Amino acid sequence: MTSSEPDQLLSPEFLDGLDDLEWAARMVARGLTHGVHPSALQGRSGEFDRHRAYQQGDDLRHLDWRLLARTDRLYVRRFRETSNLETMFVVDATPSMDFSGEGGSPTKLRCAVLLAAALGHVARGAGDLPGLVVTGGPDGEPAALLPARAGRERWRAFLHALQRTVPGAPASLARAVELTGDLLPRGGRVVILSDFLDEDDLPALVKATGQLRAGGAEVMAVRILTPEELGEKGGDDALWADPEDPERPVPGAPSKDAAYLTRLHAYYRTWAAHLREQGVLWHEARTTDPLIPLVRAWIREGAGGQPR
Amino acid sequence: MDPGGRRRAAAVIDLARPGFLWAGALLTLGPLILHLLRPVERSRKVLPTSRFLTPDPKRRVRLHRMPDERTLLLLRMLLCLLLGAAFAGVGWVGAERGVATLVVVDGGGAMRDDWARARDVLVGQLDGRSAHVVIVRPTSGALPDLERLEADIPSEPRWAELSPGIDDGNVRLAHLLRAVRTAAERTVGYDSIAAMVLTDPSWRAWSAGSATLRERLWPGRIRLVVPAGRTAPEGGAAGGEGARAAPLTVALRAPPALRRPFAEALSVLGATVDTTVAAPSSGPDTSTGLPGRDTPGEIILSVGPDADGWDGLWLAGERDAGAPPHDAFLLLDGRTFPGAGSAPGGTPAPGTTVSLLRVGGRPAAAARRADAGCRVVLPLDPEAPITGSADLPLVLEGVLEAGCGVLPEPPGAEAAFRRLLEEGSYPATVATAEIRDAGAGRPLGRWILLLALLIAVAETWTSRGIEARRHGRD
Repeated sequence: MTSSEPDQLLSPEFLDGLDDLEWAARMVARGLTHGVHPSALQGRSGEFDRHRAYQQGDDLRHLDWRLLARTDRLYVRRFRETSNLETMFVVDATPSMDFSGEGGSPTKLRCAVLLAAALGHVARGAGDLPGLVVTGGPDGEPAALLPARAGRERWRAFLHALQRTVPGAPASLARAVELTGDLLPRGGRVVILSDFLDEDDLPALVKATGQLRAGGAEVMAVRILTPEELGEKGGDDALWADPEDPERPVPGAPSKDAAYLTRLHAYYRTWAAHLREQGVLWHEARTTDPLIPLVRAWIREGAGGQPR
Repeated sequence: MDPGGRRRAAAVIDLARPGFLWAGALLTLGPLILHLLRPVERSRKVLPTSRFLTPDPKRRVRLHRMPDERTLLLLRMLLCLLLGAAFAGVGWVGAERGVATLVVVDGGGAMRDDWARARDVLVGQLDGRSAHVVIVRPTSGALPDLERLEADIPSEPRWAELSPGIDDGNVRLAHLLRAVRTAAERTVGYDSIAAMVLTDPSWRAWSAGSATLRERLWPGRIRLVVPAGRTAPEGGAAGGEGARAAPLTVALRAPPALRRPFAEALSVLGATVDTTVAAPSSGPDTSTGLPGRDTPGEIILSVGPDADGWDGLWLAGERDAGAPPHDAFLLLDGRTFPGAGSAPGGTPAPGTTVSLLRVGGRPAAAARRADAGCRVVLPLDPEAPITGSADLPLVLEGVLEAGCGVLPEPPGAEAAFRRLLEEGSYPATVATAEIRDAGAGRPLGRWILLLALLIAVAETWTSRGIEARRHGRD
């Protein structure tokens, strides 16, 4: 796969598995153009929804005169306005994401890129506008930043940017989320794809996601790890080096270290708890998981039961 | 076997303390095990979640089938082995084996007149064979003074330079035996040794305990070679020491510890010794104060700290007037003094029949003729140097000759020597392994230590090289 052929991120088989999906928003959309998501606007151009008893202060233009004539009661007509969503993908491209483990599975970054492409494709199918922020650029700045825009060329640029994503320098995920919030003045949807291994970033990220939520955006966090990191594969006695701190390798054997998994799960439980407190949807993925079922499950979960 | 009695064989070494060599060999297992037990090298791997690991700095060790760093292992094992060998007292014995002929030549005064003939006899006896020749000088010490140990009999001019000692410097039999042993221990490169002694046997060369020493010093046959011109024991009187008409038999009555030296001394004098003298059934012969025995004409020698009959000896001798006088008394220290007139106080007067041997003015031995025999009492003074003295044959000769009128047989010395050295069930040769001191041969310990030092340097150098290589790889 080369950067000149960004569409190859989404193979036909992959697209077939996603085409019937409709990624409903969990909150009212405040997009500028027509879409599939319920809009906060109650204009007349939309689809008729229901009648409601007139209340003082209602606009008389919405009064249903015919019904008044037949029933001698005052009803106003309510319409369902729909709008699109700006869906921003924040892809963590720090060095820790450039890890695939053994057995030829994709790196976490590649997995994040594929998930962004898949979710972007589903969002675009609903008329949403995908945008992209890739961390790992120089001086803590994003390596790529594409605001959510409509149009085929923008979609190709989105895929192209994803395709060109390479591991960068350590960077703050919270900073990228803050930038994303600046790009979504009318709310929208933010999908964060990361391994969330920068524990110092947690307070700032919690704050940034809280602000997004307050601004009317829905936020989804996808934690991506390899089976090796989850203690499911390998893990023999070795010197284990953190790619973001390679000078201090730790001697040990993850497969024989019961405390390793305990600490790992406790760490991510903390992340999930803090982000869920902010109304963030927390999903977990392995790099070896099949993407289509994963995406379908998330979208189904997002569509039902979640407060709008 | 070649004319020199040698045959080629594999090189041999000798170990003074073989246990150290075994210990060294055992020690080589140490490095081997250390090289088989290698710490498991931890590979460096990437794991972004490594922060959650429990650091385990403990290095694991695994037993491998093949050792690593084999050059270093070889050096270390060699070092252990060499250290063991260095302390094991390795001696180079040599590459040759066979039977060595060792000739110990009496270089004492007794050989003075026979020296020129001695070499001819020796050459004739060897019959062209090579021999190791050592000449023993008279010595007063316990160890013989070995003139030299030559790998072959010296040439005639060289032999002429090696003149024997003066007349009064006799080489004792014990020294000759000791020389055989010492020279044999220095003779390396052979697996067995045949010994010869070239001497002019004389009872003056006898020393107490020679028979005991002979067995202990040389457990093989020693061929006695006398210079040409001497007569064999069976040849009758020779050397001007007189002759005896009848065989001399002496019944020896002595405590067990004293029987052997006295029997040897009597044997040197040519006497047949009967040690089966029973205790007197009726007590001492009170009439004479001497031990009684029923066999007439027998010489009974009573020896011991409390020899029977001693108490009455003094007076008994004084009473026997009319007995033929004797010419002199012989003291145990070897001095003689005239029996008549000038004898010190207490000395039996001339004309008594009791012969007394005196030491320090006290009677030390007495002999009395009785019934054509003779009865001798020899009470031992603990301070008197009798039992271990080389003069014991002299003392006994004096007692028997002066007291009993018996002349010991002069050539008995050679016969006694020959019996002592040649007779018995001794093997013709003695294996060097049987007599050689452990570690004999050319000592190699110093060289082995030097080699070990060189190997230690090589081990250090190799070890550092490996260390540097590992660090470089890391």
